[in-house]
Amino acid sequence: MISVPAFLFVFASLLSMFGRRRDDRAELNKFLVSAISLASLVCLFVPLCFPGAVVGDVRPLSGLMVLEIVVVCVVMWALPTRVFSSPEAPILYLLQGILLEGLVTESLWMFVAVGILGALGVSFLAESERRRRQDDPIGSVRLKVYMVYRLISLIGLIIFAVSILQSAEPFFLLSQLSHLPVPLWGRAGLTVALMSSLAIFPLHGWFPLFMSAPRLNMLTPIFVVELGILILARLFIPIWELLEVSASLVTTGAAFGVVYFAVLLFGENRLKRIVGYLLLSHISVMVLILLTSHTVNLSRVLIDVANVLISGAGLLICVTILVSRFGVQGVASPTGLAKPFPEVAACFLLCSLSLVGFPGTVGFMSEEAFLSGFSASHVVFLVVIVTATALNGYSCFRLFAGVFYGRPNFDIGRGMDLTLGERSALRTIMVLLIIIGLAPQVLLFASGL
Amino acid sequence: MSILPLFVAVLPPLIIGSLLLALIGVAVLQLFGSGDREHTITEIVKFGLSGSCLSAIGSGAILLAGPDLTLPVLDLALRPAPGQTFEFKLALDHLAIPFVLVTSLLCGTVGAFSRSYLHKDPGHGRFFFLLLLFTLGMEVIFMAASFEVLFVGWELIGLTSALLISFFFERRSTADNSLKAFLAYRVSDTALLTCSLLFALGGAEGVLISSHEKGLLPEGMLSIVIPALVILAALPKSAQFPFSAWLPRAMEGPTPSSAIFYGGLSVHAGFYLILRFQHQFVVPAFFYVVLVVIGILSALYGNLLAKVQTDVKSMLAYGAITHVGLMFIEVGFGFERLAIMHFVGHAFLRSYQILSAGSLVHESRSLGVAKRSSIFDRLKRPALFEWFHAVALDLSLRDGSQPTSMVNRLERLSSRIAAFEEWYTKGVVGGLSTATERESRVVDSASHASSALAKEQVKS
Repeated sequence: MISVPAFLFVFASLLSMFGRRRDDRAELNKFLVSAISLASLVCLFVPLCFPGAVVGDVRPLSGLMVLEIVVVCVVMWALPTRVFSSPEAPILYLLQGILLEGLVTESLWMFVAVGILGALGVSFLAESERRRRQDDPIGSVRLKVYMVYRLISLIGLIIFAVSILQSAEPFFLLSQLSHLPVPLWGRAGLTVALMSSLAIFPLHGWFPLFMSAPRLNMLTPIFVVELGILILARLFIPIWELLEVSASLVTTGAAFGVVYFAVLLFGENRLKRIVGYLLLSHISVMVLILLTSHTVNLSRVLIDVANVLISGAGLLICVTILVSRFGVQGVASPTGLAKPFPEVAACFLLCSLSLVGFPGTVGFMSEEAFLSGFSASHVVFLVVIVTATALNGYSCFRLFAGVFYGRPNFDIGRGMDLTLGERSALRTIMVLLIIIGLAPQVLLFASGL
Repeated sequence: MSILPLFVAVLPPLIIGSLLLALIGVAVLQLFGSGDREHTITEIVKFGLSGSCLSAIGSGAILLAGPDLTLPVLDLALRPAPGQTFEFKLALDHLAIPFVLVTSLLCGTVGAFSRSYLHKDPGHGRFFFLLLLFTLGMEVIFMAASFEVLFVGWELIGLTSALLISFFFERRSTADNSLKAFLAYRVSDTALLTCSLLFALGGAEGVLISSHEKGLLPEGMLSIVIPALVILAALPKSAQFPFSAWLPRAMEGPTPSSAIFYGGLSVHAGFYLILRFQHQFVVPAFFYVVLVVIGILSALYGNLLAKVQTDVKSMLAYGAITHVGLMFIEVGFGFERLAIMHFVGHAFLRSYQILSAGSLVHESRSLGVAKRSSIFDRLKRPALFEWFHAVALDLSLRDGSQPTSMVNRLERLSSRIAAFEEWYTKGVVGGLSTATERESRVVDSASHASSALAKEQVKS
């Protein structure tokens, strides 16, 4: 049995799939998805809406779910309406439903199904995008790379599923995963699936390339990031205990990745790649801290998942506006967009600073939550993280100055003004970053922690 | 019935509270306001700065008149995770009072000056927002009761400094100079953050303001590493040798911000950190030795380079480096009160000089002081002074290229790693490196074309 919010999104997906896709239906689709998102928020207060979850167990993640739904709504307002009549729209709604189900289910097999369906869904999105861009060999090749990594993740999950086929009965609970006898090849499959989904070094190659590939449809990378992060948050306790030996492999990959991406960022000039590496560096920091903290629990990661959700969505909205409207590709030549579009500049700066832990933003609180839990035996990792944070902070400011400063070198026509949806999205993101940054108790209270 | 308890309860939090209220007001107006907001913003800023100033004076009077050694200002407990608390604690003691008062008075004065200086300027609202944020950051630094809270103020003034250097962002040089300053600040921030974390790891309390005896540093290697990190954090912030290159180039921003940042307040943040650290903890002897050595080097360096500057603001910047170096020497020899008096005098004098530099330039109808005779000219340039002059010129040229060479090294490393990244990804799907190389060429040629167009527009 699936939860009511997930069912609603699946229903929306079917509706938009079988309805005629015309521009006049795009507005209706946008309204439909917004209404379903709000209905999902209401469902959070009704435990009966989550039959697959242990009653009361949904609470620790409810704050995150609220935030995830709010962020997705904000992103949707910012997107051009034509996205809602695109061929990818039904898959995106399905992915959102899958994601929500993955957040609440207690059934191991439902969770594995969520992971497999999620990987298949984003692969389908990438393939449909690739077919539409046959005349763009660069974009096409990038998408191929992405699909290869997605297949790696999918194969890893299938291997894991096969390995526990005998021992895990149909209603096996996730919370008992650590007691499950999983053979070595099963654990290896799970490790590979996790590392690929979370883009941990060295299985990270797809993420920056995929960020560059689809020019207009930035919603897909948002879902990709969310899928990875929310799986990490949801599965955290049982999975890492299960990994045992391979946990050190993941730790090493994450530690190396932290510095690797930070140094890569330093010399990178392509806008979308910079944002991609910034997110990757932060995800690696998160994984590293989770694996090396002396106390391991979901609540420590809650604020940081919120940080990545909000900041990542804000950055991707800004990048969408810059790329689709002004054709900004890199930071080598200034655009002078700070003057005519101060909101975009402010949101961009705030989101990127939040990812490096600037005080007053969510990132600072997540940094406090993480770094104060470090033990003395992991001083090296501490130095790695602090160094990467310093480098990333400089890169963020370089990115901001490189994109927004200078004299405007093109005419800004009337049609280039921000839409109401975009303005609202940018302001909401900035307000969320500051409110949760100054009062993180709000999120913890919503999560019952 | 005494109303003193009421004052004690209300006045200290208002130092920060009035600034925060003004900041929220300006932010709301900037985001949601329309029409001519200049007058409203000016009034809000006036309320914020004067409220903070009067509260600081009142709080200082209460502390000095009362028997207590410390006065609590703010005590907030934020919960980033269950079972964890981030204590945002601010307090006043006798060491912090002069710094807080100077901050309030200088920022208020500069705010009043800026009212007419930036009248009808398109960036009026932005400037005052950043001014309020900077004032808040400085007050947090001077009243921070722990390293974590001090770090909050430290980062705030770093960002506001970089954003104000690039205030006139249409000029390319402002972005480059703000990046140089930001790089120096990041070195400082990293050192301070590491220091704060090591305190926690060492099991010691990183309390900066308390009425107890001096605290002890964690034992073992940390008793050497922590003081070293504190010095490393202070040097770039106060533009001391060898991190001084950014300061003269930071004068790109509006004159009022240059006055309080690089003359009055921000450049003394590192000095305050040193002063507070040795005041609060029992530090090893090498700490003082290093302070004196760095102070001497910085004072000599700043004085030498000031002599060969051709523009008045750069000369004043090197002058500030010299005086902060002298303050380091004073702290190194244990003359705390002398150092504080030096700070007060220097802050006001340097701010005044920088604020009036613009008028001086306008009156002399020149951008520099090259026409004035220097000691070198008056002494008819004997060989020794010629040699000093040449060394100073050479150092001045090298000073400017310092941050760029560090950035260049990191960029070269980055490009080597990027090449590895492309080779590694090529192994997954053949032909990718050709595709990405083509992509890079497209992006680079687009960037070059845009920058060439921008240069042509500048020339025309």
